[in-house]
Amino acid sequence: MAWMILRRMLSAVGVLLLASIVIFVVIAVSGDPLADLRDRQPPVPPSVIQAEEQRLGLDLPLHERYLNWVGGLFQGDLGPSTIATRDIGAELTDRIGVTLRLVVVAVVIALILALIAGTVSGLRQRRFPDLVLTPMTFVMLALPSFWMAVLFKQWGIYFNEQVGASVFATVGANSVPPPQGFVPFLLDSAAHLVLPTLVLILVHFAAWSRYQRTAIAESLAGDHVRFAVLKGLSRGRVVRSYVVRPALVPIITVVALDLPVLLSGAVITETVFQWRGMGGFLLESINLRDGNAVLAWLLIAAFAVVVFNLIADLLYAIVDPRVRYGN
Amino acid sequence: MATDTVPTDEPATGGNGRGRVILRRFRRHKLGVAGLAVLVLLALVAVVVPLVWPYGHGEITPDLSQPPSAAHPMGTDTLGRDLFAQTLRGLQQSLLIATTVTVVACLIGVTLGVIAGYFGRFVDAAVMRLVDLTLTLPTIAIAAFLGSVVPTGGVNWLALSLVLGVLMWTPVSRLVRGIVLSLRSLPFVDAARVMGAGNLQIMTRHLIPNVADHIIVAATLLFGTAILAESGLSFLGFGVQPPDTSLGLLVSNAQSAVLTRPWLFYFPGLLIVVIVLAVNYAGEGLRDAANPKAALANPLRTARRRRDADTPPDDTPRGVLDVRGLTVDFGDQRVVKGVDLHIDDGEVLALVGESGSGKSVTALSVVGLLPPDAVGGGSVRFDGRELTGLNFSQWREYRGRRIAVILQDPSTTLNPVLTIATQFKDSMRLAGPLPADHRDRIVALLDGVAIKDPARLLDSYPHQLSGGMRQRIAIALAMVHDPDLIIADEPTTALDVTVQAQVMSTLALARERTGAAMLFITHDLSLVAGIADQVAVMRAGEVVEHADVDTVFYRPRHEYTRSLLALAPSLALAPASRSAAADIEEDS
Amino acid sequence: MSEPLLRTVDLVKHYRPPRRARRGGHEVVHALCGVSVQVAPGRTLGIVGESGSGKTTLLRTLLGLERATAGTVEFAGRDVTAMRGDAGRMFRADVSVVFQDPYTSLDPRMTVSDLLSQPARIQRRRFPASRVSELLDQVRLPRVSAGKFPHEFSGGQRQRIAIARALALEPRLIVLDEPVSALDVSVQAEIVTLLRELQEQRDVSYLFVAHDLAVVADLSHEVGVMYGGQMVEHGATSRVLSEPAHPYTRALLAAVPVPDPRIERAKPPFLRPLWPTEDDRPEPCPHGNLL
Repeated sequence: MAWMILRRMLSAVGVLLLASIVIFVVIAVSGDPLADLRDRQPPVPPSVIQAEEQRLGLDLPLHERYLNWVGGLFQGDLGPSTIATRDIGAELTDRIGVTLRLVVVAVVIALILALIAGTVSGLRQRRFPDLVLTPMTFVMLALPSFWMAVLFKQWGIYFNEQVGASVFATVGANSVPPPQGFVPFLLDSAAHLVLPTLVLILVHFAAWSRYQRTAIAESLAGDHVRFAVLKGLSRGRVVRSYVVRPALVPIITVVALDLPVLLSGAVITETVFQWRGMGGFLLESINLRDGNAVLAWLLIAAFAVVVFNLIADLLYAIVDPRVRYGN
Repeated sequence: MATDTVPTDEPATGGNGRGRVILRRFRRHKLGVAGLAVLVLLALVAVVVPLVWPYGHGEITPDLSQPPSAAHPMGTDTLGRDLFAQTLRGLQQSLLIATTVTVVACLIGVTLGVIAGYFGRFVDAAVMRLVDLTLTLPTIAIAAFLGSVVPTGGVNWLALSLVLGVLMWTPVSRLVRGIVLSLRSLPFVDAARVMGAGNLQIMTRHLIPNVADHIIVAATLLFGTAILAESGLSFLGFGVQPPDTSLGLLVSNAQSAVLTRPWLFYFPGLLIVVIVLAVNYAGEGLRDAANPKAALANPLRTARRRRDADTPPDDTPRGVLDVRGLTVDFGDQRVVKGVDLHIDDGEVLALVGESGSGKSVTALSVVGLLPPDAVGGGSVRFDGRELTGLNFSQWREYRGRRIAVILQDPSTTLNPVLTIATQFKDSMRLAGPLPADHRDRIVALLDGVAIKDPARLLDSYPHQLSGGMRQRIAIALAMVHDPDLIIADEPTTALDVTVQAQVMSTLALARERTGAAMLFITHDLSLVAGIADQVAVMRAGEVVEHADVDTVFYRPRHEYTRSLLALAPSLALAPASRSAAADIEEDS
Repeated sequence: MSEPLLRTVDLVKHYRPPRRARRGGHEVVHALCGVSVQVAPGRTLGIVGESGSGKTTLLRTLLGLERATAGTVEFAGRDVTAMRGDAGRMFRADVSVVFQDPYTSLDPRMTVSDLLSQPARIQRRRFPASRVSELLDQVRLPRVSAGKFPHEFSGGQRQRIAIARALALEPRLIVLDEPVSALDVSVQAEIVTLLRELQEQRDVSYLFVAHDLAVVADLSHEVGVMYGGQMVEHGATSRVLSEPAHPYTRALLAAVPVPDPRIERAKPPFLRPLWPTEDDRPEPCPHGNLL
């Protein structure tokens, strides 16, 4: 078991290292961050451009730039921004919390709902409530998240207008300035959280509950379930230990694999609801051609994905002894 | 099975027979057909209507900011462009990009997937790392960044498609790799290799054609994802750039107009929904057609019964199990045609038949676990009481406690995620709370099936044990409550012959100890010679001979029984087997 | 005995277990440990063994599907271990194979006529269209079968197609890998009869591998019994059956059920593994650890 964890971690570090090289090269070769400066009218003196190149390290060969960048990472330095006054590290730290709140709440709720709905659907195939849930998930799978986000935002505004009170907050992660006191702050956060999380939940609930339904249906048809029924076990015991438990394994992998999609979804949702989170940071950085900022963002995303996959592997081992004992 | 015939004088080319079968099955999937129809319709609209529509999508008309009218059904924007033409253009662009993305992703995914699955080892490891790597990159972020750096007025559709395709091939390659991995160990690939076929020949002639239908299904689902990815990207401003447009861009432009001109927002959005929904249903239909699964079994449900079979026979039942006029129908096909069987207390009845004889379905009806698409009829009485028509909780009074079952494949019958002890405890709890000495009980039960050093096994999981060991554990599980009837369904078929001998001896011993009656189902007549009291021979859904064991083996009445006996290849071995067994007895 | 058609000399195959397992103290797996067999022209050699005995590895190694760790395979007096050059090419044409499962040994995307011409196509040989009918006649399938797909046939019929394919290039040796164990008893007998007739007509040699001693005994002139990667007993079929020398062969013989209630009832119960016993283990592989 310990050996397996170590092996997984080493492999995760390997993937992360490789990912850092790939994204560094992709970003370094895809365009000149100083293009705007060079094209500026009236022309900027060459000495200024040269100084800027030096500050960003553009005058060095690619591999040295990479090594400098990685070296900086270990000292907590994410590299210089194209905007001299911007501190990439500080700004990212500010924004991670906001996005994390959105993503974590959405994942937890979506996963719980998907497990329940998928299990019920799988156990009662082609009967109520599966007859309702299955078409519902199909429609949800087809809903583009940005469209849903705009829709919910507009409906939220409309609802607020109708009741004459701002029940749903549709701009930002918190009111500005945030209310004083713990309870009012919490309520304020919740009001801001409802609509954006709903978008993320719906998108992922649908996909995950489909997977869970299939896993349950397959587990249910397994010989070991038939054997358990023939042993005379109660319905509850059969469902819990013989149907659901072996069927938890696939969903773990699926959720871990979906994390990049979740982050992409968060980018869109944050944009629509004007949250100052990671999504906004990415889009701003792209517009500013701030290569190092995009790099930092991608690195954090890759790190999150790798960590989640590691957690998935561990959960896998807990649920399935065949993995635990390295078979 | 399949009944279609291919004209024989036609020179045989490739495998289109299967394609036709899939198509026929697909046509029965109504939602799938509807989805495909919608897609074709939308594609036609996207191609044809712009040709005849009077306004181009970029054409600036003198009518600025018009409400909908006959000339402009969706109105015009602030520059005077016809919004209906714009929507058509958006549809066109979105479909074009999604198609290209799908083609690119499938090309990459299939190539890498086939190579990884076929060569395995480090090639596979390398490709899978590449998949991991691609998966760590959120598509939208990379695509947005690459889109933003392309000079001169943003990306064209081809560049956008290539970028998305390069980021979206991983699900295809995972799927293809998995299938190829299982295909490459199949004998037809080995056969080609023995004939001298090279790697490339095997991959192109045997592997790719055999994953083709999976690829089509994956491509369909990918198409839906591609539409969503493209429109999401365009919505953020990093996809299709003005003056050109796409569905995502149209939604983005209409954001502020949701309340004033709602159709501009709803129409492109709903178009996306309809496309993806249609694609997903079409994909689902194709998947079901390519890999038809029989209605999956659900042992928590009880099977349907024919109405006319509800009156049990009024005579007094004989023995511990009395089966009268048992029938099972799948659709309009009757696979068990009025079977009568009976077992007296403590007696062993062997039910022998070849594949398709209906013996397993008979066994399933006796324990109330017919598949959901089967309809049963007739009467099954256990200890005088009718079993057919019982519901789940009524069945529980019999299952495990009075009727125990041993199934064929010991590698799948035990729960893979519970320890051996837990699986025993589950059974023991049927008779009330666990006794304090339950572990000793389990050890005694395992000892009873000749397992050496049983205490060591209690905390193991099934996958840590050999097949023969697992089957003996299944036998011990059947003995927990000293049942009156044991039903053993081909319990040794998956085992080696020496292991089979051990399991058979164990079973015989355990049965004698409890004095239970047994219904033993097998395809191998020789196997039951030593254990059976009565033998019933089944063929094509009927019992052709039902007599005591000596009659069946020495004076068979039915011709089929005689031929089974004559064909049993082990007859020549009889003297050898007898003397070998005698030797072993002397040794021990 | 005449010059053997196929001969293996001290064939050894070791598998290197995954690194993780090695760390756990698992040694190299000896799948084959110096196995020497001979098949004479027009004769049948049967190989019997249970799962894990090495019989499948033997077959795969001599067919070139696995690379031997040591030892040689000779065909008609020429070394074909590496399957290279003229000797390898000749071997591919002169040896064919019939696998156990007729549901998976035929490519489901090919018609029968495609399947029968497959060996000729791969070997780039002439294959007149009339040959398909000829082959179908030989295995007693109707000629109209040529245009059908494998899924349109029953298990026994498919195995006939596989046999027809094996005959396509007039091979001198056919390797039969459990050719009847997936079939019903009545179909088994038909296939065995067909194989016997084909051998009489065409003087082809068989290497017949199976787990079922009874089936092997039916068709083989000689029998080899494998256990743990070694050939523990080898000899004429009648001798092995009547005077088994090795305890494992005796155990195997005793375990085979016989369709005679009196014999079966008289057998003692087999509650422990019959062989190996505590004091009678198989010899460790003398070829040692070659990796």
